[in-house]
Amino acid sequence: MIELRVDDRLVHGQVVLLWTKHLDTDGIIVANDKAGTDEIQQMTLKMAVPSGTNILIRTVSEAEKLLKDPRIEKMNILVLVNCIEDAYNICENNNIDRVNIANSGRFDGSSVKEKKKLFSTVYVNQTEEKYLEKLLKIHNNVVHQISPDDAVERIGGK
Amino acid sequence: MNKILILSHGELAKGIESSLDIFSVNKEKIEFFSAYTDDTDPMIQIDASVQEHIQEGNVIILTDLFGGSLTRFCLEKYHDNERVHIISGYNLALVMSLAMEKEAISQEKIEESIKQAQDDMKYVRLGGK
Repeated sequence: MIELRVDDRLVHGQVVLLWTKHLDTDGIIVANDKAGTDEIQQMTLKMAVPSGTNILIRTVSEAEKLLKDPRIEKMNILVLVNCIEDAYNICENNNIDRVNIANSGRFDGSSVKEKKKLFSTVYVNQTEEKYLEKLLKIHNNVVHQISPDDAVERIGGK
Repeated sequence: MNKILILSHGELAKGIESSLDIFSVNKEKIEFFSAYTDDTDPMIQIDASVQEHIQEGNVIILTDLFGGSLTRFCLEKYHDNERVHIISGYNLALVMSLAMEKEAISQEKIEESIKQAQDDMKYVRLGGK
């Protein structure tokens, strides 16, 4: 099962302590162009996961290739991106079981005042809103669920 | 002079502040940051404080979770600054020990304080040590 999570903080407490346990994750793939090329960020992301948890850090396009590997498709994988645009690009090219837009648009350096609030932890600017619309057209299992204990809120669809 | 920044997800830092009051610990050199309680980026305030105090001496940043975003963001920002020390997973014993430190903090002092603080976490049973 491949779960894709949109989270502005990528790897953080909620993800490593709650979600990896809940999804019985075999590995985390961080798909982010900055992290994929920034050595310091790669080191800190790797440090943030508990020992024994596999983590791969790739640019978005590298992650797309990696997710096509048949061995990966059989595992429980949590893919982390930090914006809806990256989520859309991955979904366009890969089979993703569920997309969870959990935390987005609050800590990207621009004010939330100019953005549309979709949930308490999800804000979208015009570009992100456009990508969300596109994402909903190609994927019918897009949800918002911050922690595993929260109820699943479906986005779009029937 | 060491400045101590206590960071937390939510109000744990504020709770530590209240606990320090109970023990009448001087909080002059301590600042408390309860992150993610609103939609502002916590690193903006944290960084402003680091930049202010780094001129005068060492800054010790305490974070609540090793795997949390605050630890990661601080490490990414300050990894090459030898005046900034980051410690994760603090408890009250550690905060009190660092708050009582009068001398400029050193790596040795930090490691000693951590060791003592770790010793405070115990499965408490009668007759146990």
